[in-house]
Amino acid sequence: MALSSHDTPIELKNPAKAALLAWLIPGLGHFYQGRVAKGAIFCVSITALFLFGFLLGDGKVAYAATSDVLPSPKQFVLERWPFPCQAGIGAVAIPAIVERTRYRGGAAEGLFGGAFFPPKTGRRAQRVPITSIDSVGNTVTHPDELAKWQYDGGYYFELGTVYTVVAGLLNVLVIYDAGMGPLVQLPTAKRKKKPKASAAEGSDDESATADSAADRSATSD
Amino acid sequence: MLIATSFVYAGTRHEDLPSILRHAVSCAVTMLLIMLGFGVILELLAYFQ
Repeated sequence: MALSSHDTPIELKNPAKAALLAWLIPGLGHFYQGRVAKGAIFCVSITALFLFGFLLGDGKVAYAATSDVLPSPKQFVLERWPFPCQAGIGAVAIPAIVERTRYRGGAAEGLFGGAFFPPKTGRRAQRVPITSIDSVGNTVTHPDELAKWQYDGGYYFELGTVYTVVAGLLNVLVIYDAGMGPLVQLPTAKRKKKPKASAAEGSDDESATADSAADRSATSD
Repeated sequence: MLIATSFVYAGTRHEDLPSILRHAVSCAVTMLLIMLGFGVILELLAYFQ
């Protein structure tokens, strides 16, 4: 049971399941718990943010790295750092992991029209020349497919990446909210005024400590 | 992005809709003012460069 900002207890139905659902699709965990208004806010906000970024990046900004995760996950993260952030949304993480597995298995094309499928790099990129046509009609040859995506997309590729990353990170807050309830903002604690007699004795810490020690000894007596 | 971020931030701090909306608006205005402040500083720096 969590507390709202008005200290009203909130019954959170099956928090673990709700958190899992919230990870899969933003807001789904809240719908499951009957918190429809919040679910709608989260679903619309995060989905819109992600889709906007995804479309800005021409559907190519969400994919997982193809290097091994173990024994060193560092390389996996460094190869494609936005992915761990985008993976805050399960509906993005799962197809990206599926496509990564297929890529490593030798698949040439993606299942979702190229979305979530990693770019061809390394030896794969050398099989077929990867080219673009620039604004004056010249052919530009790229070392790999990622370079082509970045060239073709320009700054929209980076912008789309940022939007999808922010959407994934925001969903982490939503998952927490589904599992643990809202992050309560506690009101500022009001200090009780000291009685005049004790205030006159001094307000430094040492005297306060001595006073409390004296109180304790008096109580024990 | 500003709207989505404000709504999610406010939504994870309150349970009732009026509080969420109030917090979202104040959050969005605060972020907007901060960005405007930075924008003004950058414009001034560019002007005096």
